[in-house]
Amino acid sequence: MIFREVEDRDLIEQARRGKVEAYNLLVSRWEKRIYNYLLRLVKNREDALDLAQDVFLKAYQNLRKLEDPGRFGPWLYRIAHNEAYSSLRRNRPETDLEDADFEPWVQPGPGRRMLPIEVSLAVERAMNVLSSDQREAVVLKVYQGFKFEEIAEILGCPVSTAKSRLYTALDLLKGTLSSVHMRGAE
Amino acid sequence: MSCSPFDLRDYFFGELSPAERSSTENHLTSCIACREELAKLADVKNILLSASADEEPPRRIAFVSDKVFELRWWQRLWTAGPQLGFAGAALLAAAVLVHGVLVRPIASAQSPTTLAKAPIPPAATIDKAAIETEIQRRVQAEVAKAVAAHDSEERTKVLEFVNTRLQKSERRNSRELVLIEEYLEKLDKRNATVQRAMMFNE
Repeated sequence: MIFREVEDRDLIEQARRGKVEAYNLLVSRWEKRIYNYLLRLVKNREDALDLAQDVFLKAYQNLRKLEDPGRFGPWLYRIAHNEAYSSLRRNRPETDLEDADFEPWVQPGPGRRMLPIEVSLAVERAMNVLSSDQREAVVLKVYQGFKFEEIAEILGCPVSTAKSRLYTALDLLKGTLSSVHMRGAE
Repeated sequence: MSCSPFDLRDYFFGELSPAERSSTENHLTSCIACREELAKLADVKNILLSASADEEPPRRIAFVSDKVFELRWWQRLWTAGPQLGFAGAALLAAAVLVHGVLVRPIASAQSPTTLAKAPIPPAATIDKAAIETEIQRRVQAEVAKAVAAHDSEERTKVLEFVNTRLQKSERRNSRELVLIEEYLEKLDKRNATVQRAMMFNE
């Protein structure tokens, strides 16, 4: 018998037949990715964890509605996206999400190599300059490594829109991060 | 602006077909501007990745075996198709058996001679109807009992869920209260210091 790793689609089929352990394995496989995706959107660990819990619960309850088990990842992220945005709307209805937490960035001296914490702060500020749509496109492409087709599925928009959001964001980031010089990088 | 035959950003993110990729790579060997553009993209990606590594969730997500994942009674009913079919068949078999056992004594109580003479007794059909009514009554009673049990289970679950949410919100509120108290305390201290300084100046 040729060994192969059990794929998500096999686990989904088993979970649909009521095999609890199969779904538990799916949770273990995806929880870290979903948690970090949510954390980057809601920026609060406790909220991200609560939302991740809700995402897996919703996914379990709607597993039968997943038409193609091979698309479990984008489908799960789509649920996470919806949960995160509902939560953001609930918690901060009066705040414009795109302008939240923005502070002007004081640039370091020219050519000086930055400490890791300085790089983190610079990235945080640069990401805050982006619109929430652009930021999410960056998260899904750069941090989560999805294809444009999958990003479009998660965000519920055409591929061209997903692409344009990411590329506009990258142009902005190139500008705002041009002064960042990482230590150890030449 | 890039002069590459295909979008360099698509190339960078691995979104080109093998043929497009190879064509772009040929172009890159001879175009310094596009190589620089590509290097800038790589810089931005490296900076983004270096600033924010994935973290482990502080607690594990609850598994299906945990209480939070339990299906509702109607979901269990919905997903239990084969079991219900088997149970239905078993119930039908039991009903046939009960019917057979209850009806037979009436016929066997008569002597073989009277049995031979007698026409088919109409009592058998009356008994059958009575038994069916009885079975119906019992099945309905069982169903009502099961539904009541599920309803009360549902109520308990909803209460548990609401309580957990309330506790969580209370915990969050109390954490915020502590922070506010600490902040007020600091303000008091600062006010006291300012007042002392003012008195000293006067």
